[in-house]
Amino acid sequence: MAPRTSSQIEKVGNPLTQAAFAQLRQRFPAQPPVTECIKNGQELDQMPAEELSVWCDGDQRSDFARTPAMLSDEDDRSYPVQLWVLRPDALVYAPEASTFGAALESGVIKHTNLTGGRDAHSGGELRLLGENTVVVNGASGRYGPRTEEALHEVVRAFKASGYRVFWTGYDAETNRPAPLVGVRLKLVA
Amino acid sequence: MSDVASRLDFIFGPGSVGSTEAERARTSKRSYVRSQLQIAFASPEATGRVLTAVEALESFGSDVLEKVAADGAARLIATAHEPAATLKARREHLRLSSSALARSLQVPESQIEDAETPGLVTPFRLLQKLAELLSLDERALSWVPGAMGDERIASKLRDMRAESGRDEQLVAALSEASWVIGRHVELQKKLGMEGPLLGKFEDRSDDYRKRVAERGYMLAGRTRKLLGIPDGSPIFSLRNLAETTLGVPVVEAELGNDIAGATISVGGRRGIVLSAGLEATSRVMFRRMTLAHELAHLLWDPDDRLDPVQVDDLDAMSDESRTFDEVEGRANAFAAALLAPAAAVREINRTSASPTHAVLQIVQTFGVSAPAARFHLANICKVRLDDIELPKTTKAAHATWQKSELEGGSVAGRGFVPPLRAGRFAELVRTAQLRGDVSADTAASWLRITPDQLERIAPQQPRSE
Repeated sequence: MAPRTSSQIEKVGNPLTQAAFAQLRQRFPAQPPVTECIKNGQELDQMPAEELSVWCDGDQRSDFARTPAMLSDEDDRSYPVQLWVLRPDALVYAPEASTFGAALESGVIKHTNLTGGRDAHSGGELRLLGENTVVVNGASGRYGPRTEEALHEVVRAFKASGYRVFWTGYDAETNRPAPLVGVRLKLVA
Repeated sequence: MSDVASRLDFIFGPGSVGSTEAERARTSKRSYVRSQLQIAFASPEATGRVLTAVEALESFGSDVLEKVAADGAARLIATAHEPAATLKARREHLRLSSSALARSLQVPESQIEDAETPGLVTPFRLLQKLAELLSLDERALSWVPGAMGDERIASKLRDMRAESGRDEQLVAALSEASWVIGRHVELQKKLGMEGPLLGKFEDRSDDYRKRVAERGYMLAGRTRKLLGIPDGSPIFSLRNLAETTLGVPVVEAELGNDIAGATISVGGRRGIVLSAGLEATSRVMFRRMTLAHELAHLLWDPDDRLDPVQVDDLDAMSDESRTFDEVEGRANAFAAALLAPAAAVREINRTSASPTHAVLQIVQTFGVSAPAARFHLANICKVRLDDIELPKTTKAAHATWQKSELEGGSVAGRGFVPPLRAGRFAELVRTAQLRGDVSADTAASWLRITPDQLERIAPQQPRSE
C-alpha cells in the first residue's frame, strides 16, 4: 500500500487507523513540544506536505515480510528510520534523513518539523519492514510517551491499525523507550 | 551570545558557567542516567546508573550530551552486538567459564549468558560488575567495542590459565584487582593525589650480577635514602609508605593458598595485590615482607624484566634459600634490608647475647618475620644458618606490628566495603564523589555499597610516613 501525502488526510477514510488512534488521542491529550529540546528556530519549521506520509490502514494478513531478530545499523538502507507524530488531524511520518532535513541546521528532521511546533499526542520512530510490518518505538524527546504503559498503548494502536507490529520495549533504567537498534524485536500480541 | 556559548547553554543548562565544556559540566545542575542501551537525563523513575555531567562528558563527549538535550536520550550502543560481543570475547580470552563468573558474582549462570547474547538487555549494574571482573572499563561498555580492556593483562592472565594451570578463581581475582588498581591510578591522577616521591625512582636497575642479595641491599639503602628514612629507623607502616608516600595502589584479594602477592601494571603504573590470607595478625610480618618484596619489583626492576601481571608464589618468598631466580632473589634481599637495614642488623648482632636474641631484636625492632630475620642475620653477619635458632615466640611483636600497620594505613570502609576496595581506594572514590567528579551512585557502585554508606567514608587526607 503506497503512503499518502498529508494533503490527502481529509480525503481518504482509514477506519482502522482512525479508530485506533482516536482512542489514543483521547487517552493522551495533545501537548506542546518540550521546549527545552528545541535548539533552533528551524526545528519548528513545518515540513512540506508532499514530503510527509500519512499513516493508513494495513492488512497484516497479506504480509509475509522476513523479520530480523533485531535491527542493526546495516539495516538502515533497507529500513530507513522514520519519525512519526500523532497529530490531532493525522498520524504522520517521514524519513529522518530527507531533502528537507538536509537543508536544516541539524541536517535531519526533528519531530517538531512534522508538526510545525504545534501540539501533538505522541511521537517516536518507526521502520517499515514490509508493506504491513513495522517496528515502532516512542523515542521522541518532544512528544514521546513518558511511561511504559503509554508506550504499550501506542504499539497496540499501531497493531489495531492493521499491521504486524514489533517493538523493542521500554528501557526502565533510563525511563525512555528503547532504541530500535540492538534490541531483540518483540511481536505485539 | 556566541554560537559556542549557546551550544554550551543548550547542553549543560543555562545555569552552567565557563567557557569550556569541562567548566560547564562542573557547574551544570544536570545529571544523567545510563543503561546498556542509552543515556538520558536522570529522573526519579529511572533506575539505571546515575552520572554527573562531568562523568557523562568524560565518558561520552559533548555530542552525545547534545543529543540528550535535543532528543531526551542518546543511543550508546556502538553496534547492535555490543556489549555482548565484548563481554563474551573477553571472557573467552581469559579462558574463564561463564559458571566461574556467575559464582564470583553470585548470580545464575543464565544471567551471564544473557549478557553475552546480542539483543538481550541486562541491567547496567550487572554489566558493570561483569566488566570489573573482566578488567574492562565499564564506562566504555556498549559505547566502545572492546571496552578499553588491556590486552597485555588479558594475555598474561590467559597464559596463567593455559600454561601454569592457575585456577579460574585466581585469574578472576587478579583480573578484578587490576580493575581496582586501574581506577585507583586514574583517580589519584585526576585528584592530584599521586605519591610525591615515586618520581624519584626513575632509574631502574638491570644489575642482577652474582651475589644478587648485595644488589638488593644496595637498592634498599638507596630507597631509604630517596625516601628520607634514617638508616636505623623502622618503617612503622609499610602500607602507608607505599600508598601515601609513593602513591602505589595496594589492594587485598583472595589469591588462594599458594600466592603471597602480585604486581599488576595498568595504564603505565604498577599496583600491588596482597593475598587476603596475610591479613591475620599472625601473618603481619609476612605481609610486610611481601609488600616490601613487591615494592622491589615496582621501584627497581626494569619493565622488560616483569610481566604485566607478576605473581609471587608463597613458597619462593617464605624461604629465601630456595629462591634461584635472580629477579626474585634480589627482591627478597631488598625486602629484608628495606625493613631492617644491614648496618642496624650488624649493630644488633654485635650487642646481642646470642644469635637467637639478635633475631628476636630484629623481629621486634623492624617488624620482620623470624625466619626472614634469621636468614637476613646469617647473610649480613656471615653467621652459619644452622647456628641460629629461632626464638620460641614472637607473638607480642606480631600484635605490636599489626597495630602499627593498621594505624598507619587507611581504614576507610573497613568492615563494610569489600577488602579489595576498602582503604585508600575508598577514600579516593569518596573524594571524587564529593568533588562532583562522579555521582554518589557511581561511587557506591565502585565500592559495592549503598549510597547511604558513603557517608561513613571520610575523603582522603594528605598523610605522610
